[in-house]
Amino acid sequence: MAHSRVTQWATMTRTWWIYDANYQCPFKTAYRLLPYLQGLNKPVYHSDSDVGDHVVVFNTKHIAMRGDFWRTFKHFHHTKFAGGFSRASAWRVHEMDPTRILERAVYSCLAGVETRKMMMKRLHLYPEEDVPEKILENVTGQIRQVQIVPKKLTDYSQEEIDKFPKLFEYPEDYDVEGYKRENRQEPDQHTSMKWRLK
Amino acid sequence: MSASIVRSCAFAQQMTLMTLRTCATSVYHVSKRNYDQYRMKYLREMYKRRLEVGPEKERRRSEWINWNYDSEIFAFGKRLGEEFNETTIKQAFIHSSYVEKERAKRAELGLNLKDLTFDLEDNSELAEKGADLISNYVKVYLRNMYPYFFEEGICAIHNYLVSESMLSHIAKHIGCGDLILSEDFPVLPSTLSQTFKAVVGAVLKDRGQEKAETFVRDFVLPQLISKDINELWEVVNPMGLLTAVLALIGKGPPEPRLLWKSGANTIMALYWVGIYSDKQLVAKSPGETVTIAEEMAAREALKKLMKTEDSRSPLILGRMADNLKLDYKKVNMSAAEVLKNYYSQLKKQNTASA
Repeated sequence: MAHSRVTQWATMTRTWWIYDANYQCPFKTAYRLLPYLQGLNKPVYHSDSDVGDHVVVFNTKHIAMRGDFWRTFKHFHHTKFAGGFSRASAWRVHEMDPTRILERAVYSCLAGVETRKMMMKRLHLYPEEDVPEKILENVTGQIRQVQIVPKKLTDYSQEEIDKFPKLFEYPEDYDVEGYKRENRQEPDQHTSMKWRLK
Repeated sequence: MSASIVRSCAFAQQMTLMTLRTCATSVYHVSKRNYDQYRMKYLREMYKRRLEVGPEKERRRSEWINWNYDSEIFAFGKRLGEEFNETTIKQAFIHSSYVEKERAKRAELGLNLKDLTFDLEDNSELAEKGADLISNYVKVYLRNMYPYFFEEGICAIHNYLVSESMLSHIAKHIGCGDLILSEDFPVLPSTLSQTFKAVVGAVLKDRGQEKAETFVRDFVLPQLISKDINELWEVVNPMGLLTAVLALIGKGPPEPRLLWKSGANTIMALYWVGIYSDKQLVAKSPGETVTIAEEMAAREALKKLMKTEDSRSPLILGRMADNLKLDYKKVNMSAAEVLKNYYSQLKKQNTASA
């Protein structure tokens, strides 16, 4: 058996990487994943050859968008029939499919790349942490997150919260519990009528 | 022949196109005044006939009129940069079948061979001496270049280099094919290889051993360039041999460990296995399965111990080898002996402990 055969095998192998999308910006994340999907880190890289790695992304449901993007960032679609145009704001799209925002972000990053569809097949997206065991067994590398995961209010103990210096009192009619409720008041002018919440 | 006809057909077509094109700027252009309408038909006919008749019969170069055997023989020596004695080099190209044919010819003519002096001698004696020299020198050179390589490996490379196919390949490419006088045509590989040996024998006879060895070094040994010598020798149980060799040099037994793996559930699974001895990494290798990777790592470790890794320095050939001091009495270690010693010792230890 030739040693050159196995070294060839090792050269052409596809490494499996994992990425935690918890509290990560989907657009920055897309740029972070690109070199792995395209195989830019490999000496055998060529834009025409399909030598990229596999990337497993979990927690896509928990991605974070900066500014007002959940409301203002839009996804467009046209069925190519008359009146077939529709648009939906990011939060609505995310509600329908929690992997869609990240998938489209990566897909649009790869614009102009001929092997884009092959690369997208190698991007495995999971909304929650429950990645199948069979997929996890393949994984050997981890990709660094693009931003630090913030500590939420729920992560602090009641003791710590009480100890924090209170600078002012909320007015009596202030809705303190508001953040816990589901937001059904959003008029969402950015989404087509068809996709708006009834 | 047929190819040239096709080419000329294409050329004719191109010419027609060129005439149709207006060419006002070219001063030297002479327009064609005919369309040559029968040329294509003629060429088609010739092509058809050639297909019917079949390809041209292969002939000896000497059947053509512009053939001068003496000057070709002279040029052969000059091409290789060797000074040959003319009679010796001519003898080197005479195959025994040619001598027999000549003898038969004379007998047919009714000549008594006993009365006539028949001074044709074939190259078998030269070839025998040449073969001895090639075989000897190749082994000595390899043993000196790879002092830690096992004798079995040296023999495997030697067999590869002095094989009939290799020697006939060399003979063909230094231009022996046309010069050989033999019954068989096209010349058989066995005849070519014997001729090459005879040419080496001729160098030995005319110029001495040193020059003959240089000849072998210049024409036979470069065939190893870009050849993986470790693949020429097939080790059946690399891990067994590695265990014995490590014991011989006073190191602990080999311990394979999985270093890295990827895509374990896919068809493109990859495993890297490293071999450790006394907690020190000896060698590592990839593989499609753990078993393959382990075996390849054992082979890598052996290569490292034999100092025949892929990163080894190239063979010393050409002018750099002019001042090479070779030890002619050197004999490398035999793998079979190492294994025998190791396992007999192991057996003794087992019986002592029991």
